[in-house]
Parts: sequence; C-alpha cells; structure tokens
Amino acid sequence: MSYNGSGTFNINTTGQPVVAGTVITATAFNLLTADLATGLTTAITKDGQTATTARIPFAQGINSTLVTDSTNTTSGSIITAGGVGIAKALYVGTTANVTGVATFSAQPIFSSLTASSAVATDASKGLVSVTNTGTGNNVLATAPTIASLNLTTALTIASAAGTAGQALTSGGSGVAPTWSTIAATPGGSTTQLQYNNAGAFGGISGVTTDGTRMTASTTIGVGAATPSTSGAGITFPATQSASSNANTLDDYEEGTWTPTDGSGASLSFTNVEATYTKIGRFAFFEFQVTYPSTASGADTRINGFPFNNVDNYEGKPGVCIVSGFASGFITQKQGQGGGYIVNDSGSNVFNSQASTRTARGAQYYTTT
Amino acid sequence: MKTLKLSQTEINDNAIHIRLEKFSSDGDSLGWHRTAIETGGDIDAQFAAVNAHLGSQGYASVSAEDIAKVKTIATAAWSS
Repeated sequence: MSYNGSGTFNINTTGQPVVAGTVITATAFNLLTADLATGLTTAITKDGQTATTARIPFAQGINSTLVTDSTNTTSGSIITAGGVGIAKALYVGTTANVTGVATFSAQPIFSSLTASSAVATDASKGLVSVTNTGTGNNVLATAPTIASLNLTTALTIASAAGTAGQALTSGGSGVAPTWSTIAATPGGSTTQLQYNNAGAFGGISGVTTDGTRMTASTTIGVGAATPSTSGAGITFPATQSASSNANTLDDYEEGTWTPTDGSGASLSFTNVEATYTKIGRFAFFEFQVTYPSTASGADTRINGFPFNNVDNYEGKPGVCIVSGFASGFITQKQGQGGGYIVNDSGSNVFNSQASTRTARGAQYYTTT
Repeated sequence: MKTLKLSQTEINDNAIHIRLEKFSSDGDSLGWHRTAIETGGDIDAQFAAVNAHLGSQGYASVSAEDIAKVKTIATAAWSS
C-alpha cells in the first residue's frame, strides 16, 4: 500500500484489526512493518539524511532559524545548485551579493538611488561598466552630472549639430559650447606670417619671412600709423613718437613750406617753391623765392623754416645763391624760425641787392 | 578746390611752428605744408604769404577758424 499519491499513507490492513486473545500472524505483522518502513523511508528526515525525489510543496512557506550571512554558494539558509525560482517578490533584508550576472527582464527600480550616487560601485574597481549586449543604445539620463570624465575610446555625439571637421568651442562658464570650423591647416606657405583673421587663421601673402628676415610687399606702419596705400615703404605716425634710443629711426616727414620775408620790409616773394624732408631729428629744406623790386637797405632774411632748430650754436650755415649777384650762405640761430642770407665774405646781403633777383637756398639742421 | 586744414601747432622758444594738411577737392590727403611765425610776428601776414604761395597751386585760403586757433595759442604762449 503506502502513499496514495495525494500525501495520504494507507497501512496494509491484511489481518487487521487484530483481536484480543488471538495470535497475530507473521504475515499480518510483516505486512504492517513493511508498510511502516515504506512510509518512514518516504518521509523527509529532519537531520537531512533524506534527499527528496520530487519538488516539495510548502503551502505555508519555509522558516529557518539558521542565522548566517550568505557570502557564497555554500553558505546561507537556503542552498541550491540549480537556482531559486521565485514567482513573486524577492525581499533581501540586508545585502544581496551577486557573483554572477544579474539579468533584469523588466525595468529594475532602485528606490534608494540619489542624484549624487546613482550607481554605487566597489571603490577598488573605480568604475561602472555599461555593456550593450543588443542593438540598442546605452543612454544616460537627461543632463547627467559627471564629475570627471575619462574616456578611453572615441566620444560620439550623435544628435548634436555641427558638421565634419568642426570642433566644440567653449562658450565660457555656464554657456553652451558651439561648433566651429577649424581649418585643418593654417594655409599659406611656410614663409608667410600666420595671423588670426576674424577667427580664422590664414597666411598673408604680402608679408613673408624666412625665419630671420621679414619682407613686406608694400608698406609697413609703425607706432600705430596706418600704412600708406601708396607705393612701398615705412609709414610713421603723423605726430612723432620720439625715441631716446640712438639707433632708432622714429620719424619721417616730407612736405612743402612757405618762405617769407623776415627783413621787416614786408616784401612779398613770387615764384615761391619750397620743400622739406625730416628724417629722425635731421631736417633738410630747399627753397626758391624771387624778390620784388625794392630799395630796402634792410638785411635779407628768410622766415618760415619748417622745423625748430635745436642746434646749440648760432649761425648754422647753409647755402644760398642769389642769381646774378652773389653766392653765399643762409644762416639761422638756435630756436629761430628763419635765417639771413650772407655773401661768401660773411657780410649780410641787403634787400636792395636781391631786388628782382631769385634766391635759391638749402639748409640742414638738427630738430627734435 | 583743394583745401588746407590746421594739423599741428608747436610752440618753441623763439617761434611757433605750424603744420597744415593739404587735401584734394575729393578730400584725399595730399601731404603736409609747414610755416613758422617768430615770437611776436605778424600772424596774419604769415598766413597771407602761405595763402598766396599755395593759392597759386589751387588751394583755398587757410580758414579764419584755423588762423584764430593759432592766434589764441600764440597769444597764450607769447604772454606767458
């Protein structure tokens, strides 16, 4: 007999019930003990001697008083070589150690996650690994905060704007970066000077260098002077920026000037031509004037010199020829704006002697 | 007509040196022109000479405003 398949144990009833005062047959007794042996052998022993041969239904659950922390597959209250299937919820009171792969077929919810510690990892590992096992994407939450990002492979920004070859340019603190195009090469030849032209680097063909010498194809402005658009040369500021360095050329100017009568006779010259050139502190001028008819006996004197004379002595000589009369010098004194015409004997020439004659002269002197 | 504009007035010990800028009728700069007036000199006479000189080259006379500026500077310099 034994169990009926539904958990009911039926004892063999042959020779039973026994009757008082009668002999119990060996057959009946042996059948009974055989049934008892079969039933006890089929039952689960509490000391663990019995290995169950089928799934055991625990309608009211399992209680274990064993107190242990499960740290591996051979400790803990429940040990199974084939896994534990839980139809409903799994509640872990303290720590869940998973040494294998934890697969979540539904979206896992970590109720204790915080913005500052979304995923914790063993400090000895120092990383969180996200592996894409399918064809989908690994997506971080919107605007994640990453304190320090160390990329070991290429970063691909799939949805951001920008075109191939562009780079992100910082917009400054709190400002979104923007894409900008950076030329793969600055352009130009190796001898061209590179400069930043409205954000784009490029070479200029008009200024070149071989590393030790520089060449400008037209003009160079110094001292914030706008280089002349005419010809080729150096453009100095309109107002001199004087240098105290003895080896620095700090000024250049050329122009015209008006020689006037400084004799006191109020003579008006005609046929006036006069030019000057200033190079550094050196001033040079030329002039031509034609005296009117005059009987004035005053000493001839030409005024209006273009620059201040700082030569530290009087009688700075120049050269002057009064046509058809004499050759001589024109001199000027320090700080004065004009000078006298003298003959080659050093005597002053009078206005009357220059009357209707043309005087042509030139002089150089030191200015600032 | 070409014009002249006061560009620079330089006060020195015994003279005031003046620089004018020359302009074309289109307003393009044509360069510099200089003159000097010795201390106590006749400013009007000097500018009259400049105007006569450059007038023959097609320049308009130096403006009365510019001459007035030179006079103001000269008066201050020569009275100090």
